[in-house]
Amino acid sequence: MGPLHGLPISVKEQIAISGHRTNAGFVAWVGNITTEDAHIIKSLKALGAIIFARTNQPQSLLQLETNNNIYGATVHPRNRELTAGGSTGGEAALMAMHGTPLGIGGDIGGSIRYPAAINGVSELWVLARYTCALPLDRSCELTPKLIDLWANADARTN
Amino acid sequence: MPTPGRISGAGVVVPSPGCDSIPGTLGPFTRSVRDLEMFCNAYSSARPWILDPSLVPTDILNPSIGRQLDAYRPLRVGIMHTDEVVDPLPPVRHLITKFQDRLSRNTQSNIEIKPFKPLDHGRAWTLIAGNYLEDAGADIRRICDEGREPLLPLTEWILSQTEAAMNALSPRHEPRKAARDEFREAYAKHWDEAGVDVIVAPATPGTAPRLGTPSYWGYTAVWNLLQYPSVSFPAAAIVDCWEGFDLATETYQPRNETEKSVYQHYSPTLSQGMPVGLLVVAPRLHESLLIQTMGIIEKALREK
Repeated sequence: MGPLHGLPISVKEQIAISGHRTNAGFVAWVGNITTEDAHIIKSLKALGAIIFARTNQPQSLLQLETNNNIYGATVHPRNRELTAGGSTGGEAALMAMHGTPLGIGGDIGGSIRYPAAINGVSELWVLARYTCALPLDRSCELTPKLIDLWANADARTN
Repeated sequence: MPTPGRISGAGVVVPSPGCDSIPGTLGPFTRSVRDLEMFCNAYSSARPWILDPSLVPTDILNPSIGRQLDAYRPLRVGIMHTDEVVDPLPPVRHLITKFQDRLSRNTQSNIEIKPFKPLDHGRAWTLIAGNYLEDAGADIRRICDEGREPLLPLTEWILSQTEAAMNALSPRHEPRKAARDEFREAYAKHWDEAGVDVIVAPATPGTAPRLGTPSYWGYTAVWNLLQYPSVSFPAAAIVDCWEGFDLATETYQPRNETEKSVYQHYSPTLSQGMPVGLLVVAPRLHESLLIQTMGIIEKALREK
């Protein structure tokens, strides 16, 4: 049992998952099935996490938006005329809609911080205020046991 | 976003593997500072550096890396109101002022607030754009061509920016990298002279714009160029940014072409009440100091 045991985690699509398609936003790569997990996926699985969703990214990955010719654009959860930002806009929008407790994205010019900023993804910081003060408070979605495990996380897997 | 070398990027699919003048990095989206800290500790406990030699072989939050906070002197927070290239639009202009006001009213934590002036962030964009793509975008164009798909306007836009910056710097990659390194050295000196532990700065000029329009990277890309770790936090919600604040009465006068290009997509109606964050930034590899600081700032802001 690792320190992330049972925790659902979502990841940006460019992070390869064995046996699944990974296109990185390019039409030419829609059939690209990877045969090996990305390194971080191996680490997260070894820690007990469950990868439950993969999220959208833009063509070339070099956009502050999340639009490609495969799935189209990820829009802002509060107003569909607006952008969710990018390039990790899929993660930010999902978290803004309370759809994931933890997401992994990539950043080379703002691709995590920009969508995070314009989606207010950590508005649940309000919730965390309570859970920080009272780790076992019922407002926390995680079981007390899990919090305890996390807080004492030192499950060396290697 | 941590400094590159903390979280493994092996097996992440990108258009130009091996292009590392400006390395990207993976990073977590979390719902609180607490979760951010827990993610860093849990991930480090997998010891990813054993099989990925590009990583720093130690815990992300190892407190013996870099300078630490000193319990006997105040936490020195620099506030950067503008990058002096594009002044923040009215929502963010108000947000950072209100953030500073709320932080300065805190009575429990020992925090010293200082102004922080940026060091030529216009030049920073030329340097990062001119170093992003060592192949000038040839791989991206080729892959799009292979898929017989058109380049989206924002892909075209970044490729034209990188091309212009490469032309402005040098046709050869060594001088472009040398200019990058020179800027990093100058910034280290600038930061040291400013006498700050961390800075708080805008993450973007405004709230979410219309689809297809976001094109100002300056507020985030400068920290990628410098490899300074930074955390985006939902400041507007935390400091009650919109309480008693009406964008209809605010004005903004664009002073240059870049500001005009940002301002043309600004709408007070679409911005009112929307979420927007700020960044906390620490020097390269100072993730431990950054997370400690986030905790102190969070506690200070919790005071009403």
